[in-house]
Amino acid sequence: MELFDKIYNCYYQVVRQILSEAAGQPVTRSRMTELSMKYGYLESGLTIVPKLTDGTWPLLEPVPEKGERSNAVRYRPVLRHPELWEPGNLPLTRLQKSWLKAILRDCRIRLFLTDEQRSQAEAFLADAEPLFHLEDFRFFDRYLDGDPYPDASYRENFQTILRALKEEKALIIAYENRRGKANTFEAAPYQLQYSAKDDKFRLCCLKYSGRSFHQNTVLNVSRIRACHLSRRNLPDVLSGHLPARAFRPVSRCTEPVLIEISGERNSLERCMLHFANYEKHTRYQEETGTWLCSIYYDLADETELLIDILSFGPVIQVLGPEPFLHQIRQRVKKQHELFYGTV
Amino acid sequence: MSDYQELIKNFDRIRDYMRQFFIYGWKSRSEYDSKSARTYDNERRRIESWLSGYIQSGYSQKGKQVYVSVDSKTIPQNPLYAAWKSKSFTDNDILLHFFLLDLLWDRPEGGAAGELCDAVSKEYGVVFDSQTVRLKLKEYEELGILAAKKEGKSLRYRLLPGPIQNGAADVPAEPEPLTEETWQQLLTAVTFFQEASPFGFVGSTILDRENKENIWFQFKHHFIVHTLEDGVLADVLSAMKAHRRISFENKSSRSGNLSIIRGIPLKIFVSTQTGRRYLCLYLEERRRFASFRLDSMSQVNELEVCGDYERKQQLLAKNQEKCWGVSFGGVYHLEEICMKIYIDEEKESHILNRLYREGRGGEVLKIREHEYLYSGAFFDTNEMLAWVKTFTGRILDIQGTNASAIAKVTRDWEKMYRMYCNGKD
Repeated sequence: MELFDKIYNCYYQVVRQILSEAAGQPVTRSRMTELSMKYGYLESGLTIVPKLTDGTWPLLEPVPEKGERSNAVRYRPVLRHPELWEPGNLPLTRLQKSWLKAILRDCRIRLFLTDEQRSQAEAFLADAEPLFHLEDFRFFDRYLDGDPYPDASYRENFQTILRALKEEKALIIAYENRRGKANTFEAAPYQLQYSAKDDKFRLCCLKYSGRSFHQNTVLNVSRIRACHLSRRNLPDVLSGHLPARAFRPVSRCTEPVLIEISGERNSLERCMLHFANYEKHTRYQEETGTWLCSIYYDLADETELLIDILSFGPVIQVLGPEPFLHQIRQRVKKQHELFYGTV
Repeated sequence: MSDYQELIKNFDRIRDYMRQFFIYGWKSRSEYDSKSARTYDNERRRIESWLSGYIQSGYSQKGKQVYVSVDSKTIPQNPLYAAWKSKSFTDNDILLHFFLLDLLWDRPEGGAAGELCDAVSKEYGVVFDSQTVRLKLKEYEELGILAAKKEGKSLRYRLLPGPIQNGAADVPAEPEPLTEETWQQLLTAVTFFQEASPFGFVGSTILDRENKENIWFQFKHHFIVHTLEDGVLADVLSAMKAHRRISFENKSSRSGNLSIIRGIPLKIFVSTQTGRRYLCLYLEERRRFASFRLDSMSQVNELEVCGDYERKQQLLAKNQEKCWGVSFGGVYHLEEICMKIYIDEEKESHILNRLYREGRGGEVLKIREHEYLYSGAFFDTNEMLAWVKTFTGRILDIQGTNASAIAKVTRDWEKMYRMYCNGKD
């Protein structure tokens, strides 16, 4: 099965969207350009729109309208069955079915599907070969205290959270604190965060406090003892197609951590890969033959970044900001004292 | 740049460029290993077009730097999937895609190539060579969206059903379509797995066709660049499934030297902390296991079937638990390590938890109040040193059978002391 195939090309996707919209309401060239920008690449419209309107791709025809300026000419599809291009109707390719079959074998699928739905999907994909088997992979540095996906109450809580997100409802949550006791509170969910390293889901939500949902909180889903939908709807800031809080750090640092990379022991490549999940900017300093890298991070992850930087040892050096540097210095000094006594 | 096009024929050509833009954002035009300045300009323009919104630029002494910079928590979908959706095609390809599927939608009986060729000409006024139509039908049968059945001397092609088939088409519903609710739930799962599962870009193509996007899942510790190795991964998994030996070209990430490696592919080792993926291979000539980074591999060729594949897998299963990471060490001798760590268990239970969850099977013992002993035996102590250094400020003592590795880590702490504490604090 070929992964790199033209059928997945985004130009096909753009043309499908144009045909689909034009079937309901004929479209102008400028609307075609907008759709090309939305579903294609930055410059796709420069190729697609002329080809659709100059007859190279005769999939559309102009709707005759007298007295209109040329750029206001509208086009409709020549195809007979626009419903074919509606979601759910096109057949899946063998590759897509194989991928779906592979994810059905992942234990996390049970968080999304009931047993009956899973059996139904298995039957639908009976002829497909799984694209991969998870047994062929070894995640050698994954933490061992991952979430208990097969656990019935974990699964039930996860599904309640998904329902709350879809129905835009707040949740009443009984949450186990560090001392093992449960606190109950109300929270407005806006996203589920997943970490492959921790193998954990976390619920990003605004906790109800002081008569409104405003306390930005991240909860471990595995420590939710029980949860159910509240009668309250989500606050305006979290409702709508894409909540304003979604895909944003809890609290972005105001100043990035600045590190100098010596290049010794392949440290440049190791650093670039290790910190690739952060927003960062690197530049080469010719005078010292080193690289300066600014890493922007979420303050909620500061300790994690700190120990990750320590793991590189002396091949990288933190230059600032001072509070971050101070923490590094304290740990290094403490280590020296543990080995050699107070200096 | 008259020869510039957004789309490409060959994925491997763009793979290295994208990786370098993403990983090495500091490079300027003169530092890329390209054939010519024109090539660099075209590749840069293409990547800027594909990844608009994620591209940033700045100026250094050597000129303009263009780089890709994203915080993985802030993206609903891996933007590098754009590369997988850039395969070039001909005018005939796209026309036949729409015409043939449109024609077959309400023809449950399907049609033969000649018949469909005539119908396209009649219905849409575009004339194609019958051989072109025949090849397209065959291609779509291989893709799995058409089914072919022999009738007399010719093959009749029909459209296979979609997952829910709620349209008007009278297409035989085999297998049984999914209910709308199941399909929607499955699509929610796809929004998660498209980022969390191997070959996630395939999931993203399902979302494309369904007009869906991920809005509920945010990804932390997520390394998006590795999608570019999925072609190599697919070739390797295919050989593993067939129990075949492989050969491939390996480019050393340190020296840049190219070599041809031959062996038995057994497992994919994945680091969730860096996203790096490795192929674990049995090298028959050297009678040992070795790991190779997928992003350094290319030109994977399947060779002959390996008769004792399962035995090699069992051998690996016996040994892999002793790897800290991906190294099998020099001579398969286990190296022991133990370190005494200061932990205030009352206030710092999270540090103790770290030893258990991150220690990869090493033993943790409380030896006295606030003092814990971590000990383990692995093939290569050097691989553990980065983890050991995350406990900087807590290590009371460290000993091990690999004396040079232990000396290296203590020297590192001394260097760091000189680097950071030169009379400060």
